[in-house]
Amino acid sequence: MKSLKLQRSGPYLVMAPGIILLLLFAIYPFVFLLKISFQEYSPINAVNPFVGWDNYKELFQSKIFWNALWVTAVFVFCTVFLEFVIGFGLAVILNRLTVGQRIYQSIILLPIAMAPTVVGLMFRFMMNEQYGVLNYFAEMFGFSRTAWLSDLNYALPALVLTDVWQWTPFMMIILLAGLKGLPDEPYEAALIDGASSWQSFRYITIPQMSRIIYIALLLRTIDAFRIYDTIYMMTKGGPLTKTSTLSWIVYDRGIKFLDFGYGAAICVVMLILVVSLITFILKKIDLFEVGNRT
Amino acid sequence: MNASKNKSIVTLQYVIVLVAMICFIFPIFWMFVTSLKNQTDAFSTIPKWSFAVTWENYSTVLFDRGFLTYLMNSFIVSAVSTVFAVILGIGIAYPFARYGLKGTENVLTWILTLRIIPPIVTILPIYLLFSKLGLLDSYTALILMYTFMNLPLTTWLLYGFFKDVPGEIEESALVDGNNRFSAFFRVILPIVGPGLVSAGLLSFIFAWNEFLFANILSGPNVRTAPVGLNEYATPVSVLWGQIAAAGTMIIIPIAIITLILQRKMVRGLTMGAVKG
Repeated sequence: MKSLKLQRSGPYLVMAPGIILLLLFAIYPFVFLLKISFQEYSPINAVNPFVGWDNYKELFQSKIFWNALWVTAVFVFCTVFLEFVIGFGLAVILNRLTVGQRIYQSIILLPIAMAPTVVGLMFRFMMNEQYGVLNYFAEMFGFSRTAWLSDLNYALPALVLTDVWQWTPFMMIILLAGLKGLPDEPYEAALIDGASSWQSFRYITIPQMSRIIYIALLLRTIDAFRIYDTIYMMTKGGPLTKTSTLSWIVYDRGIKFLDFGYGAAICVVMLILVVSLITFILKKIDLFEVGNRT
Repeated sequence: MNASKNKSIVTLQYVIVLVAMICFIFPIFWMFVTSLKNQTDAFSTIPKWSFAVTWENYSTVLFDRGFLTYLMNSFIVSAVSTVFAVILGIGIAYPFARYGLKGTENVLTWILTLRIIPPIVTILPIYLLFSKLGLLDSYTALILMYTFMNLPLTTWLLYGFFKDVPGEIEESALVDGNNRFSAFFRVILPIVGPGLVSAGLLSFIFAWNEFLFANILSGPNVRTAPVGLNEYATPVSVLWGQIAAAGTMIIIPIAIITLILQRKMVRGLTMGAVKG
């Protein structure tokens, strides 16, 4: 017979290893980053002097940072917007189909599960000026061949296209799951009242789906915000700095040039951005009431 | 009149879906086709639709260029970290789901925010820490990292699955003479079994595909498949046939898992927030 005390602490003992791992990997990096963002820090230095707000000043005065912020914002907005619109459209259509829904659903899951590195290289190959199959199709439709990834105007759109290809299915599959969970009655009532299909979509579907829409947008936004793998494989931040996102400059400036203090300052700014986003969204959706109660 | 209009709308819908499907499949199909071509066929300006199929790219990549080792490394790291993530995830999720402990929602929300932190933010300090501990280029480093990366996911998924099990089931098991441990292992675990499998498979996918941590923390000893893939794409010579072969081999296990999971993927991809 175990003592009462041991029984009470049982749940906490079981939890401890996981929680400790999470704490170590979450708190330590955060504290460390905050500290070295005030230092001129490089792993090869013997001493890493504290420099106050210098890293942040350098950051906010540098074109590289503002450019990265802009590129990231454009990338996140364009990809999430396109993925949402196309994904929602396809989900609505797919929800009405009677034949082939299942097979379509399982096929469309493939892009989501693929390694972004593979996707990046695949698209780099297809976008190649001489032997890229996308350029072949473009030529067929009367456009001229373009070296998408080294073109100042097309490099970022090419990255957006790649991301849209990979993640539109993600939006679609989540929104489809939401559509399938909607009750029929409001639509029947709206039909009797003579509502058009756009009206019932706008005033019944959208409000009822709002929680799922928020979740889908949130997940895509945080993932688009961290884009790194595909950039590494496709453009390495170039041409010039046209595709240098925040994640990319942390790697490029911070890790490659061993300017860790500067990189850490960017990381702190990124953290502030994502944390404010998540606090905003978490106010809109209730994680526990609807999601985990059946 | 109305009937024919309806019919044409339905046809249009099928056409749109079909076109979309082709768009989403074509790049994967094209990579596979390229992996079967020899160097000259892969590098033609006008795509060759009929060509002599060769498996040479696969054998070269696997045996001459060490890709087999990279795949093994990837498998070891992904599988071990998945097991850890699931076990530790059960440890966190079950007490929270069953005992309604104080602060459950706060802790779980905190765990969720860990999923939101961009990985590039974690990697700077971790890189320095691991290099001090002499853990760079070791299985341990990647396994620890991936366990951490997947633990929020497994915790949240398993929390949802445990919540779905009615409390009475455990109580009646206790009445039948089980203690808490045997009740959990004999009664609860079998019920959430399928949930455990899907949480595990998803963690496996994420670890298998991961590149940023692997690229920075691994060296020649534990290079994973996505990092190895990157090696074949040097600016000097890009051997697309071999890259395509390596890429195909990376996605084959993932494609199989996806086909197993099907709609269960939805629940996993949304951390359990949306049930597929």
